[in-house]
Amino acid sequence: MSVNGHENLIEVRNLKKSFRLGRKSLLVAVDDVSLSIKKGETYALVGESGSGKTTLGRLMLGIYPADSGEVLVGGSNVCVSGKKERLEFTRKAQMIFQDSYASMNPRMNVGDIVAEGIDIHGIHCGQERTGRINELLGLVGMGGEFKVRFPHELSGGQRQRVGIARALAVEPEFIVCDEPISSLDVSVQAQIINLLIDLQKKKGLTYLFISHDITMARHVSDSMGVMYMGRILETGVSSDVCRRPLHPYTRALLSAAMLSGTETGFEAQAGKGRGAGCRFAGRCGCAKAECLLTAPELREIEKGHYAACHIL
Amino acid sequence: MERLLEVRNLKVTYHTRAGDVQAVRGADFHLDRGETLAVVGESGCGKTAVAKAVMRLIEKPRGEIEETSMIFFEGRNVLEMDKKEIRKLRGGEIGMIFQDPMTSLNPTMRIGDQIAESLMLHCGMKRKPAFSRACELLKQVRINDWELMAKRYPHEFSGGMRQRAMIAMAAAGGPRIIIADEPTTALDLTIQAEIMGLLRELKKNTGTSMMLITHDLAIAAGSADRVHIMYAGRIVEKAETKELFGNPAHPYTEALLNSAPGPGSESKSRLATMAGSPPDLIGTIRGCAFAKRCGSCMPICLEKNPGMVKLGAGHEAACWKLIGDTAGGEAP
Amino acid sequence: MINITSTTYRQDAWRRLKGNRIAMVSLALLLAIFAMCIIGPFISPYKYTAVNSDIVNQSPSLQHLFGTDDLGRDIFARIWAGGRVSMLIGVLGAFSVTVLGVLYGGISGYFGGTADDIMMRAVEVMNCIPYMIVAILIAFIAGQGIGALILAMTITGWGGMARLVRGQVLQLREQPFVLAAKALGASPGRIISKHLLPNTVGVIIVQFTLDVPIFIFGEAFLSFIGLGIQSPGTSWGAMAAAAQQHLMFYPYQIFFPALLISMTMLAFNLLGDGLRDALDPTLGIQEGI
Repeated sequence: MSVNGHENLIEVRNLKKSFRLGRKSLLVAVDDVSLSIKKGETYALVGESGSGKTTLGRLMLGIYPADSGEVLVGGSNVCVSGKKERLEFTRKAQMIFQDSYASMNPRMNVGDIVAEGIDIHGIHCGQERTGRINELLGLVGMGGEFKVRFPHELSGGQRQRVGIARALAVEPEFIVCDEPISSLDVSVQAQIINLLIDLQKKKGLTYLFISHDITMARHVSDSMGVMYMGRILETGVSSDVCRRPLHPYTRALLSAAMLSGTETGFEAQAGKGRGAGCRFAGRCGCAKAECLLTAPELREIEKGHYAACHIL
Repeated sequence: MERLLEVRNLKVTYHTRAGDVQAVRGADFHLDRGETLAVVGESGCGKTAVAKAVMRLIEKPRGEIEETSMIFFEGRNVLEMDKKEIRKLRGGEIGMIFQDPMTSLNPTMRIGDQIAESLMLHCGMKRKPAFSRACELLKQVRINDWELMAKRYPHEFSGGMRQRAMIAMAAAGGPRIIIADEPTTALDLTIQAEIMGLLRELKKNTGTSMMLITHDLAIAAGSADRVHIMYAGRIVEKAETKELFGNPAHPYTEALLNSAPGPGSESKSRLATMAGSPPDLIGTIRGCAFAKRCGSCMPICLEKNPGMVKLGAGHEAACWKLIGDTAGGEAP
Repeated sequence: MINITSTTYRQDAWRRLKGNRIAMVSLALLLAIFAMCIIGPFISPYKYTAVNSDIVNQSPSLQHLFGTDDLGRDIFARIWAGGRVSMLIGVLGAFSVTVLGVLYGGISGYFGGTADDIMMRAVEVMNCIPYMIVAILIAFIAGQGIGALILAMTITGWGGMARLVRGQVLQLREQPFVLAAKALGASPGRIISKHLLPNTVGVIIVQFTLDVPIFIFGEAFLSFIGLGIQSPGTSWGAMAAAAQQHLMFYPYQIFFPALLISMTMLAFNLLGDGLRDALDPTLGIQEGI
């Protein structure tokens, strides 16, 4: 992925992660993924369940240790950091979760939830701390009176705002948004999206926006990557990927989103063991013999627009 | 057009510790043979309550359907049916597909047996023929290896396959209406498309009418003949699908359509949002429920609830700005 | 959004418990028994150790509400004096088991992996040892008495609580809010103390409430077979043991201790059930309307 004058804040190189299921089988969640995100931009990671997008997001924050590969944030490798550096890193990169209800300790009130980062790093205390909590709540459009509330008393949209405030508390540069709006109503989704866009402008944040909603992903992002079973199948500038989709899977996603419902045939089972061929071959309408034998690599098909497919 | 379902003045109340939640506050709608009606709304608007009410799945002490409500299925009053008739209705004449296939299937019964159960109950089949018919149905919903899968358990199915099994179960009894309550919400996007395609095909082959409950306008647009928009327990707009999306009349419908980014939207531009949040459903709402969030709110909107205004062929909306004078509105 | 005043988890739980009539009756009963254990020996005109050979084995009467035993001692006074011992053993025993179990189970659950495997196997082995054997052993080594009894039953009894806490911790560990805390840089100590334990408290309290009757019964049983409290000290179990010989002639002597044991155990169990419902972490979320 070429850098275009703008500095790359995040660089991911050949990241791999597998999970052991029981004794025998291995689930390859992330299979040799590379990408880069420029400072101040939003990269959307689009895929369905089982694509590995959530795992990738967590790997980038160092929540899970990767099997191999590296994640460079502002130049330093997250994967090999020591304990002290890991702690420092948590101030640089944060996460917003999908299920806002489960991502909050039901026994803590909103004020404590928002201030958790502050408390852990000992940034403020006393009056200063309260002031900062109010400030953070204000940033996400909520009044200071919410400090004493508990998660179960808030609506989905309010909880998500609290989650955003919590992430902002440590003044990060990079935020991984893991399906931040999927569990919200349509009208509330718009509010949260606007909030995220505003905050990005105000604070110069860099986002990784993980979503299964390709339409919304296109709207909020500069670049996009389409993931399927642990691999990125297509990547490029968002509008390019959506207006001129190259990979059959991207086309299927887009038409599903546009409601004309192309059927991809009988449903294949999400694979645990892998053949050597293209992951998507089992469901692809255009599969050739070659597709079942070798996995295609990401190649630049148009300027800045890459796809992994034998047919192109 | 044969009228299968006629619902008038439906009112549903749930009794909770915080008070009586009036989930549905007077809904009128009908369903004719062979058509698909989509009831669209966000969470808390009452659409699930409407679906449950049709099959009288709302029972005391948790909730109740008000006596003045009228629900007629093929001319028979659902609210006055005795236990035997209602059991025959549920599954036999009206089938239901639930949102979460994970929890709606019995984890300890094989899929084939669960479908066969419906067949034995409603079609009076014996076990063996019922089971092979169940396998047939699994084939019709396009599950690979249908004979084999019928002997498997729900946890061995993927989400999309479970939903197909649910569709097979709902269709097994040969119902005249299928109510699908958010059938695709828990599924991946491409699988959603396949399931909706399957439902359309089912309708085409069997002529079953469908009532589609969803919050997703795109789903409604792709499959429904007519769309009803619900807000705060009331139906605020009714129209044929093309008409609704091309010519939305109610401010809420417009706002809903604008909330999602269109294909040509500018990257990272702000989306149109509605201020505020839906009203509290406990207690009476004075005037129009959407008034406080509406860009075109007039003084009368805060006082009286608007009645439905006819706008053309089958297109109605409940909004004061659509009529010239204030006559004809309902008292709250 | 419904505008209720902010309630903490504790207030919410208490409100739910209040609504459970059986639990409240049990609680009232337990408080009554507890109160009587404290003041009973004082309000009775007879000392529980006072021997009087003139009035041996008298049936309940207005003078001796529960009758007298074979040494002429007032059973009413003895019941409450004995109750002190039984309740003490019950509560202290359950408490020590809780502390041990929480520590062990918490560590095992949090760290998981091999450590967890080893620790749990150890617990399972411990569970196989019947507490009677341990009680006998300890009786030989440390003599009999309240301390020895509690020790014996604790050693064999903490496995249940440990497994329970471990299970809860294992489950909570995977929750997004723990992940969020980790992402913010929280240390394991903070995660355990601020995130895991507070959400386990409900389960711990319920188990504690259900452990007390187990200890009360354990003591009663051990005393019944002679391994427990010896004279002049007394407990419900010891009283039942002593009354055993006269069962055919003076059934009231065994009736009262047995009644108290049963009532107390039942009340604790019912209260525990009520607490379990009240402390349920899925706080009344409305079903989709």
